[in-house]
Amino acid sequence: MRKDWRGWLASAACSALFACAGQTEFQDALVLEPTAAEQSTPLGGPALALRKQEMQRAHRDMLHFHTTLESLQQRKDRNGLMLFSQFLDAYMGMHLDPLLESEWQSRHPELMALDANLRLAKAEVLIQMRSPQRVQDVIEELQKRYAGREDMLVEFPIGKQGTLRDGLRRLSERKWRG
Amino acid sequence: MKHTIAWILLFATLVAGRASAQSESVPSESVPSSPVQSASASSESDAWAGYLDFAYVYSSAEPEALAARLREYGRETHMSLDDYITRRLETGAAEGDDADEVVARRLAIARLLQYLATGEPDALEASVTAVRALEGRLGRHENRYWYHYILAHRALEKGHRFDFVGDVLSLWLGVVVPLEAPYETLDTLSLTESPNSGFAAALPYIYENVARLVLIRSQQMGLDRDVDPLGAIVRLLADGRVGGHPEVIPVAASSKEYLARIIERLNGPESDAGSLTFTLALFEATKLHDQARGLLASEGLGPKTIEAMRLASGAYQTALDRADTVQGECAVYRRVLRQLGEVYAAKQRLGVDPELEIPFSIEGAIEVYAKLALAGDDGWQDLGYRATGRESYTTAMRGLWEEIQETILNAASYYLARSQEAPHMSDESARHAARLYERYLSFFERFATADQRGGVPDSAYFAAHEAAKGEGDAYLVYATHPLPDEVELATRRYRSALTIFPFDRKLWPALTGALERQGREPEYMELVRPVAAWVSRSRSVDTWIAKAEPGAESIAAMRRALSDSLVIMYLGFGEDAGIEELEQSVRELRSERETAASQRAELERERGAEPGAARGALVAGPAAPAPDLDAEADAPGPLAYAELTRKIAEVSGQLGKLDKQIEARSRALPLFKATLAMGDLTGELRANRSHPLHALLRRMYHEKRS
Repeated sequence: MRKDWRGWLASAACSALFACAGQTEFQDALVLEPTAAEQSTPLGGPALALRKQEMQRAHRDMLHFHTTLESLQQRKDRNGLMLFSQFLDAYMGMHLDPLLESEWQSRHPELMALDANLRLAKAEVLIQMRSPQRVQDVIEELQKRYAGREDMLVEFPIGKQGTLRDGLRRLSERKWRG
Repeated sequence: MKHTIAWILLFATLVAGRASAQSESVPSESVPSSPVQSASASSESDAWAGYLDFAYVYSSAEPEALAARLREYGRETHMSLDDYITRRLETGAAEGDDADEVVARRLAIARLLQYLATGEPDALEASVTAVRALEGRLGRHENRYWYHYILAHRALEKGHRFDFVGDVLSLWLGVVVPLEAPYETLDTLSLTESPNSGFAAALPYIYENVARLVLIRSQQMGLDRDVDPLGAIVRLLADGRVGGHPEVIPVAASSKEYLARIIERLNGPESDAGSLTFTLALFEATKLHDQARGLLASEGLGPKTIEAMRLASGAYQTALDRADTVQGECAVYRRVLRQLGEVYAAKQRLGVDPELEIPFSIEGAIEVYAKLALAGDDGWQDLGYRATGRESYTTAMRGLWEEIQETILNAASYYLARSQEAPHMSDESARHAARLYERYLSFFERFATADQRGGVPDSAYFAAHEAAKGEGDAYLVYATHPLPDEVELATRRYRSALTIFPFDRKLWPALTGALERQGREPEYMELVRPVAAWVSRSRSVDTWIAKAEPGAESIAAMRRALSDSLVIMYLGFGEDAGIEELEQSVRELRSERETAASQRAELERERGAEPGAARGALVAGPAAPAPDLDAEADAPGPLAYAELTRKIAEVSGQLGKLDKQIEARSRALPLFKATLAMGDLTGELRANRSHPLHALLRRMYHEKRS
């Protein structure tokens, strides 16, 4: 239910933003059911492998989204940015957030680094989308889930490696930049 | 059953796909052939229903192929698609909601296929009307796919670019994203062919169709702006999606290769900060350029070629208009200058001069280069190279420089050739060439500086030599009536050319020729000695020779030659004489010396050792004859003795001079001869812009300036 509301809210916000880019039927995708249902219990065997695959794909996709966002920012393509930001809001609401919902995967030895990387990639995309409050939400979620494990190695900044502690510090410093 | 049909269609797809390669490797949509065997057991309408349900397999076919396929299906089912639509879909009885949904979807698909095969907009509108009926049933991925796919086509037809982008993004979000995990599950369990696998099994085709829609169809429909958000979709498609399911769509039948080329451009140095709009526009222009190039090779500068060149340059103009960053502008200029250079080279080669307006200029390219160069260490990222990195920035600068230099040299060469072909215009053409060379030299002077050298290719230095020499030639060799100032300028340019590349043997006599024209031959040594001295002491040259780098032997020979002023004179004035003549002159000197030596010996014998002494007495040396005891009575008197002594001194002076000449020439001639045996370094450097020796010229230039 919460996700449905989020979807509607995002849709409404996007519609307002979208006025100058023209009308499309793209927004209705926001009201679709989330694609990755929350798993409240740890997965195992093939299901775990599939989840891992899904998270890996989502991580790669987020990096591609980040590249595209950077490109749009650099060329100051306002219409493109608005349109693509809508898409990303919907993607995160429908697909990524449900994928990151489960608590257990942040503790699972096979998934926790991937989980952290995915959250960091999301934060980086949100920085590009100029959503500092949502970046802060990601930071707090990471701090809560990975308390005491800040020295773990993560793929952040994008394309490099570092500790989660450094990653969080960088995010805090950069969240207003966009 | 559905999947049996799909597999048969796929099989045919592969066959057709392989046979339909297009120019520039634009993947041609493969068209499946008859699934009649599988359909034979079904009724006619069932067969059409199967074709329509699996239309995602072949809907991206080229119009002609799709039309032929639909006709073939009509023959097999004894019912054309039009009839099927009229009899079964539009007026057929639909029973219940589910039947309504299926019929509406098939009708929408059928109308879309008609539109895609014929280009008839009414069919598309009918398709849109039909698919709108599914709006309440978009929870089903199949419905949602066709819904957005059809609306995306309508957006293209209407030119509604934001709608197109929105529909493709919606299709991705509402169909592809939710189907990926189920498809992977099915794939892991080898259940993608299961009758109950549902629309998830269509995922590889959806990837393919989206790729073709965005990359090919959109361009065919003239969508040339504001598609940049779809860059993300293109990147996702290239990331193991298109071509990633070879068991479903073999790589050769997919658009993977085409997509890879687009991605290479999108993420590479020839991008516009990652803009898909720009990349597609430049790609289109490149294709047209290649077509024009092909026509140029086969038909020369005929009307078809000219038209193709116009189209290509128009497409380049569109790409330039779409460029938001200097990176994009640079990418366009690099390619369009190549076209300009090709035009000049073809005009010169073919001896024709057709009317052809290309809306780009060398000045425009130089302006773009200036923007790149002036951005420097602090600003290069803002020019569009942030994602591709500094290396791509310097690579792009060097690439643009090379195109500028080659275009200028080609154009100037064309004008020089024209000055010979049309003597009445020789002065005008030669001056035109000289201006072009001068433009390159001023460009070189401005940017080939110590702090800008990263963006300057090694070949720029030899090109500067070529331009300086070319300008000298334009005034002194090609122009019929050069003005005195022009002759003076040409002389200066020859000297500049010599300074940049002193290993061009032909330039030394060219300089003496220029000086001779002004009556200034005596100034030759004064002008060239500093050049020779610098070569002799250059650390760069020394290191090059010590490390036995390419061309080191020739350079060493030239350096030895330049350390001898007589050889420098030979280089300037001895070229016309030829080595045989010079060697003959040494032989003549030796002969002259022998004569003089004999003469002196004879005089000494005649004179005797002292006044009144017998002739031949006390005369030393091998030439001295034995004393003639009978000649004592003829001993010279004091006056004759003095005269003989004077003559002996005179001949001795001549002998000394001859000895010096022989010694100098004997030393210099082998050195000069060695320069004649040098390889044609000038020709090698001109033919090969990647020759390692270009690097030496760069070092020498900056060493001298420092």
